[in-house]
Amino acid sequence: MRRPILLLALAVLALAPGAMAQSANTLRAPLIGDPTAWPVNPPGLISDIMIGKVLFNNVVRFSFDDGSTVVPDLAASWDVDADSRVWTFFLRDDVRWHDGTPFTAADVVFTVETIRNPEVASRWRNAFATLDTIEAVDDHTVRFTFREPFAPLLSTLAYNLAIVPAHLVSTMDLSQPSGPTAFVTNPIGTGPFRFVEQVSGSHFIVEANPAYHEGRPSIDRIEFKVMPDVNTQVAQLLTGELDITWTVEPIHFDRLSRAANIEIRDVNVPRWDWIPLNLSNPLFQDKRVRQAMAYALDRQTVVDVVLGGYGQVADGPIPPSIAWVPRDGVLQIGFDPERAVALLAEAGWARGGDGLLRNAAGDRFRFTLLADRGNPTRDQIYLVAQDAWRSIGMDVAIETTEWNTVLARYRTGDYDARLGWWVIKPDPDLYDYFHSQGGLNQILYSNARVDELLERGRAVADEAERGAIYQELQVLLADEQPSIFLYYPTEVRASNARVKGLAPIGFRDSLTWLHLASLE
Amino acid sequence: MPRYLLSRLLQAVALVVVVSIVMFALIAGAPGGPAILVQQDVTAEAAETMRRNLGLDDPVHVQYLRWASRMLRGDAGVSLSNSRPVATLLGQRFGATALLASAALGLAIVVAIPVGVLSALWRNRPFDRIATALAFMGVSVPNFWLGIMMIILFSVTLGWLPSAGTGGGDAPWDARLRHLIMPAVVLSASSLAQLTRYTRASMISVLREDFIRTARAKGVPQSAVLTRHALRNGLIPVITVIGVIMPRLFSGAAITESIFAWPGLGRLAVDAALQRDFPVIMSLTLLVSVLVIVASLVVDLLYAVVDPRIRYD
Repeated sequence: MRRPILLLALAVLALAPGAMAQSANTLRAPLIGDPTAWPVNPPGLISDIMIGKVLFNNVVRFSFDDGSTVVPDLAASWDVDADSRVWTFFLRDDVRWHDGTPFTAADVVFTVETIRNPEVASRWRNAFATLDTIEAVDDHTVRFTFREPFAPLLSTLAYNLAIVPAHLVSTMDLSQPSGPTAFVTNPIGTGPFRFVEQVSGSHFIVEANPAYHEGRPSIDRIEFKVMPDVNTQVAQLLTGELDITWTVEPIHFDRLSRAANIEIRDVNVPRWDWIPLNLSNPLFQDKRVRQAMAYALDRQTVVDVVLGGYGQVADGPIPPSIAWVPRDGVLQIGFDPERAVALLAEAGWARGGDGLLRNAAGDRFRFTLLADRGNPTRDQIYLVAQDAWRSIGMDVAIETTEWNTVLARYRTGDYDARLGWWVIKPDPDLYDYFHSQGGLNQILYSNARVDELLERGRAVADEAERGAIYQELQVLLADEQPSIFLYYPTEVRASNARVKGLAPIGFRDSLTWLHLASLE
Repeated sequence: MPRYLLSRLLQAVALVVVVSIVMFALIAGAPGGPAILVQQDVTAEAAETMRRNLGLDDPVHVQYLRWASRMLRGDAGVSLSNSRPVATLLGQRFGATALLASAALGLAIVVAIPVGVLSALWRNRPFDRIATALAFMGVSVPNFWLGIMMIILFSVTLGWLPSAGTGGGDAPWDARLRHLIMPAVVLSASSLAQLTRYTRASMISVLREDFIRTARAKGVPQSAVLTRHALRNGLIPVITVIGVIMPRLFSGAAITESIFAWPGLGRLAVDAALQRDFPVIMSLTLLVSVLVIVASLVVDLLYAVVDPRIRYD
């Protein structure tokens, strides 16, 4: 009986406050899920990309200051021929993998060839659809030759395209979609931090790479904590157990902005949120109907209330963070339910005695909004959209299921409308999303002029000329409203004041520059 | 006894096989698909290749037999979501879950049995009424709410306890204990309340029995009546409840684990189900089935210990 009492007394002693000291030079950062270090095809995406940014390097990367200008990374410089078909990259000769093996052009060739290998089923494969050959000219020179001019190559290489070690991965079985087990359990990169330990559901730890070619990082260790609950993340930031939360939900803005020692920063990122419509459904095939749906939705109020003002109403898919694309002449669809009703009337939809829209054949305008549950922002938008469209006579039902099912049905076209978003590279090359042959054109949009503009935008090198092409694309898509563009959300992150020197850009790319950050 | 044990073990094996077949069929029939195949930036062509590479194109019974034959050879496979060996994932999570579940169960037993006994003794008196009110609260208050409230009070406001996590593998024992307190209290809340009520009800009915009256009439002291006579009989149904609660604590702690970022099996189960990560779901199902079977077997055997009228011949 004595021993349990002694243990209990010890336990009470241990509870005395003050034992939650900050680890001196360890950055503690959250991840929403277990990360997997397989940059060739990151299986869970966001957490994988985040740890990839500190473990690996790209050929080129987005700049520290603006997050969109392309600057050297593994490549010290590059050349391109006049029509943007042949790109030559001159690689650094002082880079080593974490196991000490020198990095060479063969690693870049191997990574790109792996991504292009159809059996690997990489999500980045489309990026190289027009690549003819890639060759190592010598140990530190790589040449990409495209069948057609390919202007967005730099932003493509800078966007999440980390280079993996050929000497290790080339001998592994690449048919496992989430990456070879031998590599993901012991990832080797060239990045500023190297792998230490991963415990499922708990943490992923990396430490400073003393031999990093840009100098040893100031931060000794990063402990990525797996924390799926955003409330817990905020609580940990407030108690000093976390140094940063990468994205803050609107419901937490107020609490965090009142906290001492917490710095909040909002950043424009290349992303648009929208309500994709299944364009194979005859209801949505008339442009006027789609415009009416946009006019009926008070998107400014959604931004003000649901996003707490952190965002901007979207007029098309090219976000304002890509500042070199002019936005003159883009149709601005405001909140105008009367205009919506008039457009529907033009399209042959009139309200009956029961207030519901009917066409000449007497069919009701009936569709289902496929929703997931649990995300506070999306939960509100589903209801706002349903209410707005009901107010103009549409018979809108909400079908709620879980996220995985929403995505699976979206992919197979088994839906009418849903809520979605795209985070894109900071380049207006939207070929994948809106070209009739685009691999990610899941709304099945097809427009000859859009196809032509997307093809030309890839073929032209001059930024001003590209800007004009994509301006026309934005004008066209805003008018066409192939699906309902909602808003460009602002990314809000909060960090402890002891974290210094974080890049003032979107959190994904700010991780690329974490070797320049420090802790006070 | 050995014959009884053998027959229970044979039943257990049959049960595990049936459970695995039902589970496999449920996963195969569920809408959606493995997370890596359905994400919106995966092209249809890539999804098709991955499906083929994973053998998901084969008929369900072929997939099941392939999984079962690997399992029989001791190969639980790798997670579809992250390529890590399922055995490693389960091993890493099991320790955290075992710690949390035992702490919660221990807390529930240590608090609930004395409180239940005292409530029965002092029926309808202030102690019983307070205990009853608290027990109803324990059952009714949702875990996520209790967890968040405790985090706000003990971590954010008072700064006494860490808000989440386990403290890490190399943390000193006192740091790990501090991380354990809130999740254990939250996880035990409803079991504790339930166990208190069962103990109280069972003790009330035992205290009315003739043999208690006889013992008292013979002048046996109150403490001996309670411990030697009443408690021994009153605990039999309580043991059954503990047997039911135990596997639930092991597998059903997902909400508590999410709030406190506790790397346990419950969260792994929910994540694996949402991601349709069938190698992980199947192994977890087997593990939990075995736990349920073992727990119920242990409970049955304990009956024989506490109640001499029960024999397994």
